[in-house]
Amino acid sequence: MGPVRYSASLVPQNRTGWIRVWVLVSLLAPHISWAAGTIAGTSINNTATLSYSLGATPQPDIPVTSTAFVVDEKINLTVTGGITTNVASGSTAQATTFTVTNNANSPLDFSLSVVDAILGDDFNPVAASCAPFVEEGTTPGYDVLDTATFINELAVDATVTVYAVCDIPASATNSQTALVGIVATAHGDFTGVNNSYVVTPSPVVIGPAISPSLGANSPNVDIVFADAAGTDDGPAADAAHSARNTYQIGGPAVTVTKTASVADPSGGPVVMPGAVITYQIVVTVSGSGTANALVIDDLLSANTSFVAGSISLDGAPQTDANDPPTDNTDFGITAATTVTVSLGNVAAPATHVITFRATIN
Amino acid sequence: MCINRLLFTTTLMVLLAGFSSGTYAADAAIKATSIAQTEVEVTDKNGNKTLKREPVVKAVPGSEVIFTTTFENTIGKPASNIVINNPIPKDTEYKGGSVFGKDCEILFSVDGGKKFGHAEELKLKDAEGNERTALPKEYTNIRWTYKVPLAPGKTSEIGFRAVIK
Repeated sequence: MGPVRYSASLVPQNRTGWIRVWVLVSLLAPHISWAAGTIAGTSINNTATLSYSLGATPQPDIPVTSTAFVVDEKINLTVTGGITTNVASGSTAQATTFTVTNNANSPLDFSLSVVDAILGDDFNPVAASCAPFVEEGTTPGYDVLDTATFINELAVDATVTVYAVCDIPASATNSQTALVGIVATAHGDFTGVNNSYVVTPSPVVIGPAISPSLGANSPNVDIVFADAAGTDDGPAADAAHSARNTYQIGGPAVTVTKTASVADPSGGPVVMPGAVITYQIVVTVSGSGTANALVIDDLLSANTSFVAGSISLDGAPQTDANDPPTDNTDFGITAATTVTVSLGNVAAPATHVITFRATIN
Repeated sequence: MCINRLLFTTTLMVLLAGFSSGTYAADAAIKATSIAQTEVEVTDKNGNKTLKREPVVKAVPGSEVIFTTTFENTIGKPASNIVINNPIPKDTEYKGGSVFGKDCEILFSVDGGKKFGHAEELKLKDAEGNERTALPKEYTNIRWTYKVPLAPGKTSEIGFRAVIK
C-alpha cells in the first residue's frame, strides 16, 4: 500500500496559543557537541630538525622522529529528548521525537530500544505496543515511510531523528503523563586494516556489537568507550546513551488508518491486472481541542491507475479538480498521482471517511 | 733519558691525534631520539598517587601526549649554535605552557615556521581582518635556540605536550 501523510497544527481547546508543529527537531533544546576528532586509525608522529655547528663549521641537519602511534576509536553518542507530546487517551501509534548524535571518531550503526515501563509516572504506554523508528529524511514527522528500526551508518558528528511510537491506554485520563525512553547502543564492524572501522552499508542488518579493547596499547586501532550515562542505559562507558520524553493526555490527536479491498473483474478473490481496488481512509480526531488545517494526502501505489471521479468524502462524491471552497479534494493537482483531501479545522471528536478506487495495471 | 722523553712525547701525540680522528669518524653527528608518552596516575597500596610516564597507550581524541626529544653530544668536541625546529604534529594541538628545555631561548611560530616570536608577539587575523593574539593551540612550530654549547658527552632534553584533536 502507498503511504498516507497528514499534517496539522493542533491547538488544545483550553490552552490557546500552544501549537505543535511537525518539524520538531528545531524545537529541541540546542545540543552542544564538540567535533568528534581525528578519525580512528590516523597515524601520529613527531618530527623535529636539529641544526648545530662544530666550532665555526655548520654541520648537516639531523632529523629526528618519534615512533608513530595510531589514534584509537573513542565510542561516544548522545540521545536527547526532553519533549512533552500531547496524545489522546486510547489513541494508537503516537510518535514522540528524540535525536541521536554520533560523537565518536568513525561512522557507526546504532541499535534502538524503547523503554516503556518507567516508574514514577501516571501510566505506561500499552504493554508491547512501543517500537522505535528512524526518520528516513524526505518527509518530516513520523509517517509510514519511517520503517527502519536501527540507525544505519551515521556519520561522525551527524544527528538523526528517532521516534518512539506507542499506543496510549484508554484508561489514561486527562493531563496524566507517561515517561518513555529511547536507548541507543553503538554497533560497528572493526575488522578493517589495523582494526579500523568497516562500513556495513546494509540497511537490513546492523553491524556487530562492539567490545572495548583491553590490555596494553596495540599498534592497531583500540576501542575506548567514552560515553556518559543516560537516563535508562546503565553506567557511563557502556557504548550506549538514552533520554526520556513525556506523553501527556490532552489536546487533539489524529489517527489515520487505510484499508484496501480488491474486486476481481471476474468475481473471484484473485488479484490480477484489471482488478479494482477500493481504498478506505478513516481519519479520527480524538481527545480535546481542534486539529487545524488538517490535510490528508495519499500517493497512489505503483502499478495502479486511479479511477477518475472515484473519490468520496463521508459518502459525498468529490471532483478530481481542486475546487474550493465547496470541494477541497483533488487527484493529481495539489500533488502528482496523489489524492489530497483538505479537511480544514476539525474539532475533536470527529471521524471522516475517504474512499477512492484504483485499478491494477 | 732525552731519547725516552722524546719517544714518549711522540707516542702521546700520535695517540691523541688517533683518538680525536677516531672519535670524529665514529660519531660524526649528535645522537638524537624522540619519544611520545602519556602520563598515567598510579596509586600505590597506601593510596599515594604518583604520575608515571609510559609509551603512548590509548591515544583517543582529547588525549594528552608528551613529546620528548633527547640529544647527546657523542662527538668529542663542543657542539654550538644548536637550534631545534619542531613543527607541532599534525592532528594535535600544542598545550600552552607545557614546553620545556634548559639553557635555551624558546620561541613559537603561527605561520608554519616562517617567523618565530614570543607568545605575546604571535598574531593572527580573524575573518574580518582584525588582528588578535594567537592561542597556544594555534601554534604551528616551536623552536629552541641554545645559548651555550653542548659539551662533549653531555645530554640535553627538550619537549612539549600536545592534545590529540
